[in-house]
Formats: sequence, C-alpha cells, structure tokens
Amino acid sequence: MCVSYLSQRIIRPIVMLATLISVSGCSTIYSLAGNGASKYGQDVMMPYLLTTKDFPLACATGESLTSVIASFGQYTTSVNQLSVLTNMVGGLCVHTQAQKAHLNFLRLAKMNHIAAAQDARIQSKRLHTIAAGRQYKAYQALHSNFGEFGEECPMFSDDYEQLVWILGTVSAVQAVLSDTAGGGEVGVPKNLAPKAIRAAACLDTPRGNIAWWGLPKAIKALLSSILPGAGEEGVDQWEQMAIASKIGDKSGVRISRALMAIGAENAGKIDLLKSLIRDQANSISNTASNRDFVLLDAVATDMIIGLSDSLWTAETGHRTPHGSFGTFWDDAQDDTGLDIDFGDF
Amino acid sequence: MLLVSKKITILLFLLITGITSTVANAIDNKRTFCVFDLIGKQGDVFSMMEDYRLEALKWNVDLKLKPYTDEKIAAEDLKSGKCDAAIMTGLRGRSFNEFVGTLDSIGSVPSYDHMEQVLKLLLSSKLTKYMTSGDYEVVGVSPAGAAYLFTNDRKVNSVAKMSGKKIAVLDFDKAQPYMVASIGASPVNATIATFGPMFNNGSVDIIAAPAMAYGPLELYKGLGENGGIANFAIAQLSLQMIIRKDRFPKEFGQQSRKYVWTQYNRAISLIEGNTESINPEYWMSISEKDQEGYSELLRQTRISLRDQGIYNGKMLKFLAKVRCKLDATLSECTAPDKE
Repeated sequence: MCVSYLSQRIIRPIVMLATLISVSGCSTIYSLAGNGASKYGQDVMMPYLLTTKDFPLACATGESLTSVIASFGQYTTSVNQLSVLTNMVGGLCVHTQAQKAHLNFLRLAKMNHIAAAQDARIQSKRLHTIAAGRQYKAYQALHSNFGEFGEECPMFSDDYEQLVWILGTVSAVQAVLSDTAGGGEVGVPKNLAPKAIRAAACLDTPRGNIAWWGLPKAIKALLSSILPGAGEEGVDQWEQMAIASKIGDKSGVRISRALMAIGAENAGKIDLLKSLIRDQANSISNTASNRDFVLLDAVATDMIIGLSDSLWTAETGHRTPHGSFGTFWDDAQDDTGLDIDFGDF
Repeated sequence: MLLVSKKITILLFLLITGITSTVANAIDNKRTFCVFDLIGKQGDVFSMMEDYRLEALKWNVDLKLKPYTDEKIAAEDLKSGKCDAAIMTGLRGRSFNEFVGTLDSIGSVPSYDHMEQVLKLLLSSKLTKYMTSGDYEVVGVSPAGAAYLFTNDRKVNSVAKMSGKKIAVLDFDKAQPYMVASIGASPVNATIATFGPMFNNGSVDIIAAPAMAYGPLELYKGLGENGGIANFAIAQLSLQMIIRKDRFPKEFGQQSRKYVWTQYNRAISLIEGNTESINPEYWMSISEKDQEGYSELLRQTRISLRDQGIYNGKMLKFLAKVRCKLDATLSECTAPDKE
C-alpha cells in the first residue's frame, strides 16, 4: 500500500520528469518556468505594480526583471506581453534620468557654464539612446506577440491584451522620439510613428476610450498633429486631444493630458502647455487616481511636472518650486488687500 | 603714495566697468532663433540647434530657440522681425539670399562628395561677401539630403516617359513647375506637408523627395508593388541658417559658419541612416548614358532659370567649377554655353 502510494505520488512524477529531461533536455523545464513566470507576472506582479505610486520602486522592479523575463523568450513566447510592460517601465526609468540631465543642460547653459552644459547634453543624449533601446524592445515584443504593427487589428482575448497593446503603442512612439533625442544611434524606424496611429485606432472606439482613459484617441490625435498629412481632413487634432484629456480626468488616469502637453511643447504652443499644466495640477487635487492604475497616473503627472520643470528652468534656472506645480514665475500676483477704512488706526 | 592709490582706483574702475560691460553684453545679446522642423521640437533639426545654441554662447549670444512646423511662417516671422534668425530649407532661403539659395538648384550638386567640397569652399574668405544680402546673412548651411524621384510605376524610368504624368511641385519654388512643364509633365501644386499624402493616395504619379521623408511619410505606400526610386540626385537639399545681420555681433557669421561645417559628418551620417532605411528593391539604377543626358537636360534648365532671374548666376558658375574640378572630363566643362 505504502509502496504503491509512493510509486503513484512521488516516484512516478520523478521518473516522468527525468524521462522528460532526458528526452527534451532542460528546455521543457525552462519553458514551463517561462509560462509560470509569465502567468505570475500577468496575474500578480503587474496588477500589483500598477497600484503603487512609487515610481522609483516600479522602475527598480521593471529594470531588474526585464532580463529575467526576456531570457525565457527563447523557450516560450508567452513572456512577450510581459516583456512589453517591463521594457516600457525600464524605458521610462532612463527617460526620467535623461530628463534630469536635460534640466541640468538648461540650467548650466543659462548660467553660461558652457562646457558643463555640453557635458549634461551629452549625458542626456546617451540616456535617451538607452531609453530608445528599451522602448524599441518593448515594441519588438509587441510585434512578436501580436504580429505586424499598424496593419490589421489583432483579436484581443481579454482586457490585459488591450492594455499591453495600447501601452506597447505608446512605447513605439516613445522609441522614435527617444532615438531622435539621442542622435539616432539605435536606428528605430521612423515609420513606427504613422503605424502607431493605426495601431491606436484599433481601440479608438467609445468603449476603448472609456476603458483606456482616452489614450487611443490621444495617441492618434497627437501623432496626426505632428506628422504632415496624417490626420483626417477637417478634424481638429487639438480638440480631439482635449476630449481625450477629459476622458482621462474622469477616469483618474491622466496620460492623455500628458501626451497633449508633449504635443503642445513640441509645437511651441507655450500658452497651451501652461494651461495644460494648470489643468493637471487642478485635476490631481480634485480627482483621485484610479486605484487599479495609480502608477500610470503618477507617471502621467511626472511627465507633466517634467515639462513644467523645463519651462521653469529655462526661465529661472531652477525647476518648479515645491508646492508650485500649476503656477508660473510670471503669474500676476494679487496684491490688492481688502478695502478697509483704517480711519485713525 | 597718492599716485599709487589713484592708479589702483583707476584700475579698479576699469575692472568693474569691464566686468559690467561683459555682463551687459551677455544680457543684451538675447536673440530669438526660429527653427523650422517638420516634426517640431522633437525633431532632428531642433536637436541639432540645441547644440548650436551652446556654441553660440561662446560667441556671446544667448539664443532662444522657437520651433516652427510651418516653414512659411518661420520665413515670414524672420522678415517681420519676430525672429532674429531662422533655419529653413534652401528652397525657401532663396528669397533671403539668392546666391546661397541657389545651392538647392536642380542637378547642380550630383553627390555628397560634391556637397562636401561646396560647403568647405563656402567658408572661403573670397565668398564671404556673398553670404550677406540686404539685411540678412547666411551663417551656416547643413546638408539635408539628396532629392530623388519617386514614381508609382517603375516603367517610367526615363524623362521621355514622364510626359503626361502628374508631378507634385512645391508651390513656392518657381523652378519646379518650370522644370516639370518643360519635360511635358503636369505640375500639381503641393506643400511640404501635402506632397507625401498626395503621392500615397495617387493624386500625383511622381514626387521628388529626400530619403528622410521615406519612413515618416510612409512613401512605400505610394510606391506600392510597382513603384521605384531613381538612383539619381535631382538636387541636394540644404538647411540654411539666416540671421538679421544688425541683431548679431559682427564676427558671428564666420564663427557660426565654421561651427556648422564641423557638424557636416554628423548630418551626413543621419542622411545615410535614412537612405539605408529604404527598401533596396525600390532603387532603380540609371545607366551612365542616361545620367549624362539628364545632367545636360538639368543644366539647360538651370541656364534658362538663371536667365529668368530665378537662379543666381554666380552660384551656378561656382557649382560648375566644383563639378569640373572633380571630373574634368564632363562635357559641360568644355561646352560653349558654360554656366
């Protein structure tokens, strides 16, 4: 009885495993491990990470896990979706560092410290190149998983796939922008930008925009405003971005406004950019972050603070002062006191 | 003792006034540089200009860069004085400086080797006087890549077969409709923003475009399965930096031109990267005999455009000298109607 039990529960699986290893080598185990890691990442790790507002922690997690997840890629394709997200997070981490170097460049140039400013600019370019590499890997993982990007829309099996698709599309756009900022060393194909318009269009439906905080509409409109002749005729892309931003406001995930702010800065629309920065400051004090996507909302605010910092630094030499997000150095100050008759005070 | 004290006071006075005037200069020399980049602040040109801005600080000028995605508005703002300087294509820059603007003339700079020699020679003190025209001075020229003919039908592989075809022309460049009409094709007005989509949706059969437009404008869509790109530089496009002369220190122009020249290889490597991104199957090689024929056709057109006052004769002559220096066997070098 005891021998029979042992044989059934312990010995048999061990024998089967040994047979499996001897027949197929370690690849089966790695494949199983990869599938497990992917499942764990998708079901547990990512949802957990998305609820934290601690961006540096998310960064550390994304950066440390990217290689581990990617290493399973040779044994199983199931890690592709997770790779999109970890590479995207890893790209954002370096992008933040590049942004800091850019602020240094602006500050030092303003102080006329030319050699130091040049050094900061070189550093910023190098970091942008690293960011571009990671963001491009996120796109490649997206491509491996869903097939050709920007052609036919994939059949999404669940919400998680849609999330991966839309964030992977953002990564593709970022890869193009980061590579340009870095001097084109990675060689990210420039046609990813127009392809991303069509990729975003796959979810640019009333349901898709509500589910994903207006992001599909925002990506489409932003790129259509940048690429000559890309948008539909007669459509005001800035109006579309404003609609997307409002959807983001309501949902508590304000990435659409971050994209609109990037577009405004890119086009030199400084008044619009300032107004968007003010809107974001108001919005985050009035509407709480969506608790399932706190991280993405925090990243959006960080991106807009980054743009505010650039404006402040170029003008004053320092970034947005503490507690002053949504205000500017040249804001008119209300010095008028109450109309009180002091009499013989 | 009193004399020494007086000397020290004078020295201190000179030192203080000297420092004050240096600071005052730095503050006085704040200038707005309008940057045309089709993509905007995130584009390659704007990025290049951020490096330029740092160099300009060394020449005691603090530049504020302003992105423009519409070249026409950048040019208008330079004219109206809203911009103290601007960077734009040579095609547009021709209205500010006819001599340097003629650099982008059709067929006059056949290769990047020619371009390199031309830009190097433009630094020569003998040509400095031509950098200024009226209130404006050209303070730098950067290569923007060769323009090639993109056709949606690779059977159209000769000028003769272009007859009757619709070809997009940039509405502000008078040379283009003339050239197109002279080969019997139909010019269709376009802008930098519309010529790509017009080719992709079939509104025109042929466009002239640099390699950098291939990816972002997805020109492979217009090329389709039957299209091709003639491997023959129809023109060399350039980016030209133009200042309002009275708004900058006297030495700024030459300092700037020297710096921009040091960035030549960087610009060429970006262009080469863009050229390599083109699907190799699209390239159509043009036989040497045909190339000779086209070069002569373009030369005759240039002469005609010169006579109409569109191209600058001096620049055409200079470019012809460069071509003949690099290849003295060219038939044009001994032609009676030299440029």
